[in-house]
Amino acid sequence: MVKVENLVKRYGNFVALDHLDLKINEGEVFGLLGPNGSGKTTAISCMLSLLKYDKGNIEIFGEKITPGSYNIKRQIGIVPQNVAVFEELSVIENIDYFCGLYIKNKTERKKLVNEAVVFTGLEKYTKMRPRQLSGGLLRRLNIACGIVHKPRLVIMDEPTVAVDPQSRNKILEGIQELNKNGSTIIYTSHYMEEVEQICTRIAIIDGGRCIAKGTKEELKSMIKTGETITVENVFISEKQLSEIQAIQNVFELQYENNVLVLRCSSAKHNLIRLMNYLQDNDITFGRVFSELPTLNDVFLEITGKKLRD
Amino acid sequence: MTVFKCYMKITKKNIGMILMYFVIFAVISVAMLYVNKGDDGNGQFTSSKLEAGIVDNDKSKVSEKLADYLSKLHNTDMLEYDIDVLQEKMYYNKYDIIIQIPEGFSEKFLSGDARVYVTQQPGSYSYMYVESQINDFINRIIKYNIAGYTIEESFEKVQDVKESKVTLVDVNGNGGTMPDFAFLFQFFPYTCIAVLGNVLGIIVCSFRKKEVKNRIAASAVPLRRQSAESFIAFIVTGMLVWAAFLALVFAIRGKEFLNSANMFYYILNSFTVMALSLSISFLAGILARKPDMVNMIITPVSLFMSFLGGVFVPLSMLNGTVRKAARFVPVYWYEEVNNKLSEYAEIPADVIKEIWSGIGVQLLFTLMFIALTLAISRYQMQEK
Repeated sequence: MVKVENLVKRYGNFVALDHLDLKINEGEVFGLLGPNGSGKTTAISCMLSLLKYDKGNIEIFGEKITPGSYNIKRQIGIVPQNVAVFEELSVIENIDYFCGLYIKNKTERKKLVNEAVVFTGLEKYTKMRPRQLSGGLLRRLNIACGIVHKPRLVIMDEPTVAVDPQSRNKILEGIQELNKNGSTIIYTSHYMEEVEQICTRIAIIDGGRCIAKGTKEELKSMIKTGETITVENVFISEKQLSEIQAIQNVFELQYENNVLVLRCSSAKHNLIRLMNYLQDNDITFGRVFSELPTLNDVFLEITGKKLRD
Repeated sequence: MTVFKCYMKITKKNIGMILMYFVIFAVISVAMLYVNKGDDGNGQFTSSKLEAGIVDNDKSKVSEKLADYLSKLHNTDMLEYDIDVLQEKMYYNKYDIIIQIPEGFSEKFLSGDARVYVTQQPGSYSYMYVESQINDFINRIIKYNIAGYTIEESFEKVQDVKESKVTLVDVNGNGGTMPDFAFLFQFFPYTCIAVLGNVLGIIVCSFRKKEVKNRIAASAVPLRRQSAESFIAFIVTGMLVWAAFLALVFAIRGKEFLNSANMFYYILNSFTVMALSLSISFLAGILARKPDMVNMIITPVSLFMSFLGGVFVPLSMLNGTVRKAARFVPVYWYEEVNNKLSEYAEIPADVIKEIWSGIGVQLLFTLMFIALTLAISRYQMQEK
């Protein structure tokens, strides 16, 4: 459905997109994950033909997109990072206006507007002006304006930034429902939990380059870390640390402020081996927990830095 | 017509503000009409008569004629010279002035050296008025005498002089005053700039918000169509405000306006200032970073142009330097045309040229503002 090949975009000497390649299939919720400034928004702007790019090719629905590709644009919905609505219009008037940019028929538009209002849970707020809405409701309005015309492809650029957890869940549920209703979704975010929760495939972007892509399972299997074990309030000597490091499957160890973090490769009984060692050596400890690898681990291992750095 | 409808919807939401400006406009205009039509024009200059006591110490034919002359101009009493009585009468305000004709007045009369003594109430300037009348009387007698008339004949001639009459050549058909509806046209630029600037400027600014602009640019409506619809919305809003103004003129002074031979020029001039206001609104919308800032631009601009351009203060009251500076303000040219139109009932050919050039200058200002707006808009896009 969307094919981005060898895309290069420069701002002067700064390379915002460095030979970016993406392929998004119909029916997917495709996550573009990357830290702030990694090139996610630039990539989206190029896909929508809002920005001219220096090199490469973008095809949507099998056709190259240009600023004049109105037949393609008619089937795309956009939910920008910042709320893009008119302060002077009410909630319903805003949705109706943006729907009017795609749907000419008044009756059909009215039906779609009502559906979008219900879908985003804005029924009680239709007469209100945007400035009267809370941050979460504003985001929902922003989404309603982007999806009201029932597009085949919805591009969402960090739609949950600065949103309370309750509204965030509502938004994420809505996105999954949209997908179930047939829309393909491109979802950019720097919140790995969100991307893990809703995306079927993920591309991790850093410095304008796609550093990894695949399903979350595929991405996690790409890295060495199979399990991260954390032990709190533990007192260990230098000698004991060396012995723990030598435990089978442990490949990285951190000990700071009496907290021990072990990274182990994917294998059975890693936690049991560690517990046995602590017990055998009469080492007291506080809470212990074991975590499976996250996308942050993927990012950390590939780039050497944390996703939210 | 989605973009057009959006403009109209936002304009409709500002109807309260538009009405407020129109009500202020109507109230000020009507108030000015009544202030200027407060009297019928005849009462502006009235002759006043003083209570005057005359002491004739000369007792000559000449002094008698002078007293007789003064009695026609003021309420006079002949008094005897008694300093106590005279002081008492002045003290009790019986007289405004006391005129003493000294002994030997008639002998010095023809040589021009004759003087009278005028005593007045403290703080009064009436003596200047009376002295001027006495000097006028003496000078005229002397002139007739020099011309060969005897003193007696000269007195008769002076008495016979008819009062001069002023005949007003009523070039504008309004008794020398501005037609009433001209006041309405005088105040129009302020209302027009304020209303259109605040309404359309805010809409332009809202459409320029980066995210909204991108969302619209990513939509299925071509950019050219969006621009065309915005242009139509501008014109329609301007025409509506202009039509509302003309309706107000017809409501307040419709009959008078319909009878005016200059109606076409008034309408054309107000249309030009409406176009000018649209260009200013466009510029304000491009300059403002947030919709709230539009008002902060439009209010000082509309007031500055109105004060300097002669909307609130007539151009005739501006001094030379200010008037020269005002030429750089487009509203000045509107008011110049407006003043010319109100000056003549039927416009002479040479004045018609001035009117067209005034309208032409306004249109040039309009084009200049549009060009400036497009240049700024292009610069802003390149910056981004």
